[in-house]
Amino acid sequence: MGSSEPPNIDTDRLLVAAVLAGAPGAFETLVRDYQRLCWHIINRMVRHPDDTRELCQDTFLRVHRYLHQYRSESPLKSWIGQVAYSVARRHLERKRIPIAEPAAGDDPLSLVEQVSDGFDLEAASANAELGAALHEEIEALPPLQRTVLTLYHLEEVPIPEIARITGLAAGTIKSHLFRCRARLRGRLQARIGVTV
Amino acid sequence: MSTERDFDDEREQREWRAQESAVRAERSGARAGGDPDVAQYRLIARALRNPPLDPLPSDFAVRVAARVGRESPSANESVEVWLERALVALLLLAGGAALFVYNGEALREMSFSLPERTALGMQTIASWSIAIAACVGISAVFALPKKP
Repeated sequence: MGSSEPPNIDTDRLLVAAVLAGAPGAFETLVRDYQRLCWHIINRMVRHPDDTRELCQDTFLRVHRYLHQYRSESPLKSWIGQVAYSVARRHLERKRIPIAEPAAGDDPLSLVEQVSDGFDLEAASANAELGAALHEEIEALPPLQRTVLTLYHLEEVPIPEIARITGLAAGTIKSHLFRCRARLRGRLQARIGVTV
Repeated sequence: MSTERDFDDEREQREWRAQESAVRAERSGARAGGDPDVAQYRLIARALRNPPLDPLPSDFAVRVAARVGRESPSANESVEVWLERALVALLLLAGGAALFVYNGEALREMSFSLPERTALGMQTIASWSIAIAACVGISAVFALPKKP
């Protein structure tokens, strides 16, 4: 989405009708509205700028080709996100890159220590070394988890919509969010010590 | 969705609440509170809101729209449709002309070449029925909408 307000179902419907009618500039508007979402999903999945560009283009070519199949029961954002996710997933499958780590029975809270003292958020936030370490930990997550976290935190996509995009159950998305964030907190504490 | 009811364990519920409080605080830009659990999750949420993404090309939408315009099959398709219509019209015209010229002679001759109805055995009827069903089935499979 651009900097303007996110499109709603009605504006989506009008935009889709304009694209299907071949209105000049309508498809470019659609791409502008959803290019950020598409880019974020694919870039988080494949992490390669050239592949991201190619796959993003492929996504919008597919969107254009199959737009007549779009039914406005779900937001256009979810529908396009679904196409982007499946394009990126197929790319990773072709390259035999695992999308998600196998479900492990480990307790994500086993690394987390209970904090008794205060934690200076602004001081920690200004610590570039700590920030870099945190990003390193995020990058080490599997593609699916990275994408789910980005959709939820950066794109502010609600859990049911993420479930629709990825084709997973909402409970699974919630579990991924919980486990990843708990694990990141455990790693963060290991770097800074339990108290800061 | 943001309730902690899905978590059985009390500690997991508390942790989920801290995670979600951090999300809300970061989205609203609230000042740092006193809860160290939430503060740590706010640091994580902040990092997740600023991932190291490759930049989106500024002309991406223009390029994609141009590529779609180049690769759009609509122009070729419309030529094909019109060509098909012209051929059907030509065929009908030729048929009409043939009827007019031969005055129905050809049709009468064709009817003589068909087998007698009584001569059609059950096996022949079954074979033709299977063939027709197969044709309809194959056409229906190809006509199914494809997934994007």
